[in-house]
Amino acid sequence: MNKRTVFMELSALLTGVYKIIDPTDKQLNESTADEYLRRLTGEFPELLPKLLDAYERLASAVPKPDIDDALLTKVQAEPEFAEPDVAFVAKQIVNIWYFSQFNTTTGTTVDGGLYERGLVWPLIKAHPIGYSNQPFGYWTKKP
Amino acid sequence: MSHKYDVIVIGSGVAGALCAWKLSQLGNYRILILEAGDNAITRAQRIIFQNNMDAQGNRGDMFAPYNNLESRIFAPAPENSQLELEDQRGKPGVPPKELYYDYGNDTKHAFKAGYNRMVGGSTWSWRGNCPRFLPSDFKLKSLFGVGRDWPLDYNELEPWYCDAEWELGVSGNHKELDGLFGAYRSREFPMPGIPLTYSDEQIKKKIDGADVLGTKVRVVTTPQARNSKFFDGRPACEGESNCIPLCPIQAKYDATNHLRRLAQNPEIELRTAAVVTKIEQQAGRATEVHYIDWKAKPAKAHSVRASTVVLAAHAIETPKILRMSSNLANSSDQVGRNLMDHVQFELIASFPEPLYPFRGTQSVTGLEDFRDGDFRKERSGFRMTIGNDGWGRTGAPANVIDRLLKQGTFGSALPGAIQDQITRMVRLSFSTEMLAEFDNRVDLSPNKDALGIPRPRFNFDIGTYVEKALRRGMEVSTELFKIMGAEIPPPPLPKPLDNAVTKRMNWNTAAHIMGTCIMGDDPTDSVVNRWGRAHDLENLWIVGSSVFPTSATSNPTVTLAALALRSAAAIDRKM
Repeated sequence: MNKRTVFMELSALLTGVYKIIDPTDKQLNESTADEYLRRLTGEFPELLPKLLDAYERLASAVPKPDIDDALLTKVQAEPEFAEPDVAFVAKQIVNIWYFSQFNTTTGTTVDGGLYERGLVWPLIKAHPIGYSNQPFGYWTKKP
Repeated sequence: MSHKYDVIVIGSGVAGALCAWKLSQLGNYRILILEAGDNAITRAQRIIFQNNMDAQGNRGDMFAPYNNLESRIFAPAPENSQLELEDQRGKPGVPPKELYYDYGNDTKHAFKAGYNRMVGGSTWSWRGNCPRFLPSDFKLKSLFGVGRDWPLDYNELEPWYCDAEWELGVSGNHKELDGLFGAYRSREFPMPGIPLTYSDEQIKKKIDGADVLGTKVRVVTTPQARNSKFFDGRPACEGESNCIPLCPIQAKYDATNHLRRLAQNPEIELRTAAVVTKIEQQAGRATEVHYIDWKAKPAKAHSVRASTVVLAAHAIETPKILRMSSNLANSSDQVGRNLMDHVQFELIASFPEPLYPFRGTQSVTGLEDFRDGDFRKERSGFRMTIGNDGWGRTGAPANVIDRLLKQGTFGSALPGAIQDQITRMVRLSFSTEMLAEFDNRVDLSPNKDALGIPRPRFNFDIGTYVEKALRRGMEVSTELFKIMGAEIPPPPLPKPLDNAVTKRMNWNTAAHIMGTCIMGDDPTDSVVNRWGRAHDLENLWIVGSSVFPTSATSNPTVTLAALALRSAAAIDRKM
């Protein structure tokens, strides 16, 4: 498995948004994944690979396991996940996909670079704040 | 004496820009506007600010789009003013964070309100709310025996309110507000009110007409300087949900609107990167204005002269400039005193059904019913806002995910939980009225900024008049949520009113800085007269909310705009 695929599968597993790796969407999400992977690796150069390796060990099994909560439970049972620092990085993977931002261990919030692509917006039926692109009065209707 | 300029206006925020613009309409005046900031007022600048904001993370921060400006080094803004007093002052062994504000030994509270030192001032990051004062707000002392009275009344200001509403482009529903606690309206708003959001409609169904602890409440559209149709060359609101810190399309008014108009006039010059350090006086007249051009490397001192000087540097920098000018215009000892803010707090809850916040403006409606009454003898009134921005300052949507993750929620349970929690978020906030108090003041700190100019130093106490109102605001909000069937989350959310650690109340600033150069008829007890002219100098005028003798419960901009237009007319008559 290449690093990008490992990251995307683990991201889908942790966020619960499986369309990240849905065959029809995966290619569209690759550039986002590359950017997030780059930024997270920059902040967590040792911890992130550790987490990705733990996932890859399980995901490389034959036959390949489904990406679902059963696999998530197995990942969470891996010894790496028990390390607070690694578990913290897992949370930041979730944060960066939903809001395009993540936290450092010192509590600073770091930009993920793709604010408008946050997964949270379609989920709450709102536009990214500051990017309405809708006409006057759209807000009067139930979305 | 002949000068190159007739008028020098210090500050290019809404007060300075409106005053200069009105003067330019009344006469062929040569006007110089000196501004400490140095940003552009173009569409391109707005886009740069928006891009910068995206990279900040905290979109609720009023400074987020602007903190890369070079002017922040030389004309610092109080970017950390919302921190608690201990964090601003520094704890034993821990230096304070990089701060602009300084505090006297006997201060009880932090002064949390911030402002922008930019071309266009703080209107870059205001919400646009434009409720007028009530008639009783001008007569607090005579009616309730507390605070002060204004030297003018609602009737006198009413025509100027109408003009201000047209200049700012205020949308509002005339019939809803005409006669509110006696505040008649002689003209319609230039635009109809912003239509209610889906969220507002659901809340209105539950609480409109309800009896809340003895008061019948009415959900009213807040008048806002935000276009509800194409107006004054600016588009109708697109509901970006980003009013603070930046309207990306300028559907919401900001002072750059009038600055762009002024830029068309060859008689008017806007000089940026000019931090005023001193106004000189001679024989009861302001004669010369000194400033530092920080863009020159090294920074260079200059001075300019004009027959009239207008101070419009907002309620912290204005008294600072006077104090730095050998205590100018301060024979009353009132300069820098009577400092006020709207002390605010909010309660959050989860509505029984999805409200879908973050669609439309950050707030459209409010409750005006708690602003006036005989209770003002004992405690302040408050204006309530119904938020459309989730849990507002109590917690950004990103915090929902943080909390879920802390609870160990990952995987398929996460999207549903996020959706359920964020779409049901609602907040009620209440802004109280501070009294003008002699000891609430800003003066000069011995500590200096990058240009060697004293930083502002505060002594501040919100007072029991406000504290009682905050408690009442919490009771009313709790009751309103009960009527809505909304669930107030368990601690630590929401933030409690009483802080067990600091032993003070938790409260937020509305960043409505008022007082410090108050107006009055008595020169021994006020800084400017009823027209805004300094009692001590015949050609020095002060515009902006610094002249307010009472803070009322209204957001101050439309009132300061009305006063600035009125002062401009008075200046024209004098000249």
